[in-house]
Amino acid sequence: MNADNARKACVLLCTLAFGLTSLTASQPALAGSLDVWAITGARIVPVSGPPIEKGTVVVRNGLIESVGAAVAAPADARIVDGTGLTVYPGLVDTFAIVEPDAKAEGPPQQQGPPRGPDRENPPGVTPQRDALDIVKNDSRMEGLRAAGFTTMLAVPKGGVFRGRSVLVNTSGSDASAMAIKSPAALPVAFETQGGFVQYPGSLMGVFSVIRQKLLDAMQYRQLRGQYAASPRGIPRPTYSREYEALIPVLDKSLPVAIEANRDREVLRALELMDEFALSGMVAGGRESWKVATDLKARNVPVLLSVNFPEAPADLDPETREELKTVRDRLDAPGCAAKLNAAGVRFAFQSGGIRSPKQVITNTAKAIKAGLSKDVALRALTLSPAEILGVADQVGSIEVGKIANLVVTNGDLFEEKTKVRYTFVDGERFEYKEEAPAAKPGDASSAAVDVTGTWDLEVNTPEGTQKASLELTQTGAELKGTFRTEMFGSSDVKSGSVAGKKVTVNVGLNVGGNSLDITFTGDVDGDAMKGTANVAGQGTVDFSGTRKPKGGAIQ
Amino acid sequence: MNTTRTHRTKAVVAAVALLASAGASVTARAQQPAAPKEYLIQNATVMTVTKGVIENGSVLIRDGKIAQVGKNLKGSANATVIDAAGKFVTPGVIDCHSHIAVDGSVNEGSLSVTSMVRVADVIDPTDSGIFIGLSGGVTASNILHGSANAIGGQNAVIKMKPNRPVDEVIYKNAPPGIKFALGENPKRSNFGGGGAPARYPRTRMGVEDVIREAFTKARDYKAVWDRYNADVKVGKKTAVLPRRDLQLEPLVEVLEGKRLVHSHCYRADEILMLIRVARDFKFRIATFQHVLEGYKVAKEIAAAGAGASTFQDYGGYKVEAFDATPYNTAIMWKAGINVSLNSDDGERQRRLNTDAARAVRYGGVPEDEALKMITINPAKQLGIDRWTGSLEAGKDADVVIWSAHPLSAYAVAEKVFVDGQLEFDRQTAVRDADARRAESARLVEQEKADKKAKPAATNPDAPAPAPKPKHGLHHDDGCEGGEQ
Repeated sequence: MNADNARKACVLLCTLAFGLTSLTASQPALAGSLDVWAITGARIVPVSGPPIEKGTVVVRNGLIESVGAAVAAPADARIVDGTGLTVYPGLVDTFAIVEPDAKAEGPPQQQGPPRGPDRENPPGVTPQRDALDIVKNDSRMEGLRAAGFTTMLAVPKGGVFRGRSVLVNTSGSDASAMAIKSPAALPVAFETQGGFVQYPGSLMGVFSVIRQKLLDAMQYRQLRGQYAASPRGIPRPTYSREYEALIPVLDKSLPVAIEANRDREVLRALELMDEFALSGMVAGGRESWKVATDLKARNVPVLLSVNFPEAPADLDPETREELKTVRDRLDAPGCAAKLNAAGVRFAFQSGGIRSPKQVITNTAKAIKAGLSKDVALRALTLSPAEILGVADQVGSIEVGKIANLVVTNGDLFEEKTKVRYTFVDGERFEYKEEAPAAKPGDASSAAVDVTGTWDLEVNTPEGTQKASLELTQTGAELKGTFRTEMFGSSDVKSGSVAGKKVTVNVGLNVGGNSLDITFTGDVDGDAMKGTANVAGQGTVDFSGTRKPKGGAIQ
Repeated sequence: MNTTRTHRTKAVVAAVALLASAGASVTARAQQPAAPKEYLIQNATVMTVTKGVIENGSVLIRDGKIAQVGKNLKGSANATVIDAAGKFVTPGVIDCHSHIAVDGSVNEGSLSVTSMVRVADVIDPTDSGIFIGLSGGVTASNILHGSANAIGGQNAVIKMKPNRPVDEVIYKNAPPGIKFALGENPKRSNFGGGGAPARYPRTRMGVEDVIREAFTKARDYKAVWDRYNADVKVGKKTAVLPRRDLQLEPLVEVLEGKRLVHSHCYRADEILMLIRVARDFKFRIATFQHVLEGYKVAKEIAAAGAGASTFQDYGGYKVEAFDATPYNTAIMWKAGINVSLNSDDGERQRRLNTDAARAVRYGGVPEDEALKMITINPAKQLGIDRWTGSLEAGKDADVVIWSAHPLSAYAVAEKVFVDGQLEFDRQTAVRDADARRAESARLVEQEKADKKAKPAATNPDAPAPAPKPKHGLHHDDGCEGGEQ
């Protein structure tokens, strides 16, 4: 390869690579058509209003610019053909536990012999901890996006006062860029800290810890104020990060989110809020329907877990389960419908389900148990936004709101439905429909014959790149050659046709290195349209037309 | 309405209402139609406990209270009349030492002084222990913190109303109390540390020191607040708000005579020790609990004005319980101590009447006095005798109808009223237990059929089933907490 070719290779790589980088960059770029999308011809479910059967959503610079049946795609927009697809607001997981990597935590602070119980500094009291320090745009976020979740309330794991939770979008350069609201709520759990070894070792001890800490914070607040007003003659109060973190809760500027599942746990949570005049919500809420009147009376919302109990798979057939256990299990999916009927506000949360897709599957169980689809969708979108005080930013498809969207190929709650695109802060993520693996020689799986020479136009951010693809189809299998002006030709590494869907993988020879490109497209006669995935780094759109028979590339 | 369905609904409601283990909601019962407000029990042997025995007597219950006790009483037209001919009516049994109906551990076992924890925070009205005790005629229980520490947590006196809202179960009339413990349990003689560093105290001397130190701190704490309040009163600007200390506040209440001390103990020497400590700090001991060597120092206990709440004839389960004798009850009673018989156990609780009978057998306590030991005496020890513990007009209608003389081994509680509500009826309870079993089987089958019809994707993260509910059973010496 000569120097000129090397330069050219660089140009193409940069072209492709730059485009991809821009696509995957988590910070919304400042200008340019890169950040303008128009999803056209789609069914739009704004949640804040009635569905639009066929319309367009325009996304610009991370925000929803316009939405409606009569909206036209702006000239500078990249088009997502939404024909046959449905656009929903991005989904929210309203209580997602996050924990720091063991490595990041560093060695345990405690050295020497084990520490005995400590009433003044019990473990688990870390209101000053911040989920913002834990959240990362990692593979978990990738999984959430792939299932249509664009937002989550990140809650630090473990403890009584667990630390500040933060509402984040599921993509962004770092936690700060991802954050929508920080802190969003202060999670509290009635969690013991280790039997006879640590205080609190009992549930009643947990309540004592909570009370004492809130009282201490109240005293601290008073002393702080008194000292600020007139320090002379008063000992300076020792600065406390712990109490500083609790004061917003006492001042009602930050709600508590108390984990409670059994009905009496929920009541204890409500009584605690009453005792200290806290504003807040209940997280978990499995039996909250039994105390719906109490929740309604105080207007306390529930972050309702969809992690419903299931019958043990390995139960000894001779074992008779307690009626209580069986009832609780059968009642759990119906909780949402009952809360809704009672007028209790609620939003769904994963409750520790690791698979985001399973969260939707389980939400469908709540629908089967009597909840309307509309309310279920709302509990995954606008309701969490309202409960967390960010309804002007996320939760529905409305002009000016953050462009968090999920585009599916059908009803969200149908098991078969697949997410095709997720937009987070206007950034598009695309998910291919998994083509059934085509068996070579099996002509029946191919509905079209794509044999011929195709002129391709690849839309990179730096402009359109031309290429051609010469294909020979045998059954569902494809062979052939890929050519570009700059890099010459290379053989198709693998290719297949399933239905009208074509998948072609080529290895582009760039300066002796193979750059892997996978074209996935839908064939309609002599036209082809789809996306090209470059080296697994990201995707760009392409379109192609078949040359009339006998034509050849020059 | 479909008859089958009506029947099923009725069965379910009944099961929910009467069987705690049915897992009813704590509010479910509140939504039920109001039960009859007036009951007239007739033709019974009425053992009032405080006002003698009335043959062919009647008890009239109205609006949760005992309206009248006497002969040939008339109720209003609305009264549900119960013919109790051949049966015996007594006030509800009161258990002065129990650990039922508690969520989580009954011990905050981490520290030697846990006066800040409150049993009332963790009462579980759906615990089957309430139902089981009720079936033995128990209408009120003193739910104590465990005995793992020299100064334990704050108790809660409950009325035995299965599945009622917590508010209705916790007995508001009861003055606050606190658990102390002496001897082997607080010095952790019989228990592994569970990985914990050795905890002070390790000796009986240490137990005394812990209690004295705690009260010294409480006295200082009170002084700090008194000074602050005085400073504020005279408008001193530099007065600095002291900390509210939830550990010391209840001890100040003990010093001020506002909180009852219930102290677990066995040996005579430690009983005398606590009497000295109480004298030095000028507080009263409401009860010595267990107090198996009480017979050795009965005079001193009587002089201190403390009550004794004991096991009738249970001992020998650990070294400090070796000197137990079934005559302890009688000896303490003869010394003039207010004696009650307790269970410390969710099973023994339902047959405290037979424990009272054994007090007659061992040492010759008169029958009426023995009956007092499970009714008015514990009521006095808990400071609730103005409202319950005997059959007197104006008191809470906590009433038991027994099939035979309550001190007979054949006696079973047939109907039990708590606050005027028929909370236990043996006939319907047995029927409802069957209905409950059938319901359980039906639901499991239904669930299986549903799953077969449409197998849902299993969720590997589904929560583990709740651990088997524990009953407030006897906390034997091998147990980590140590109750007795």
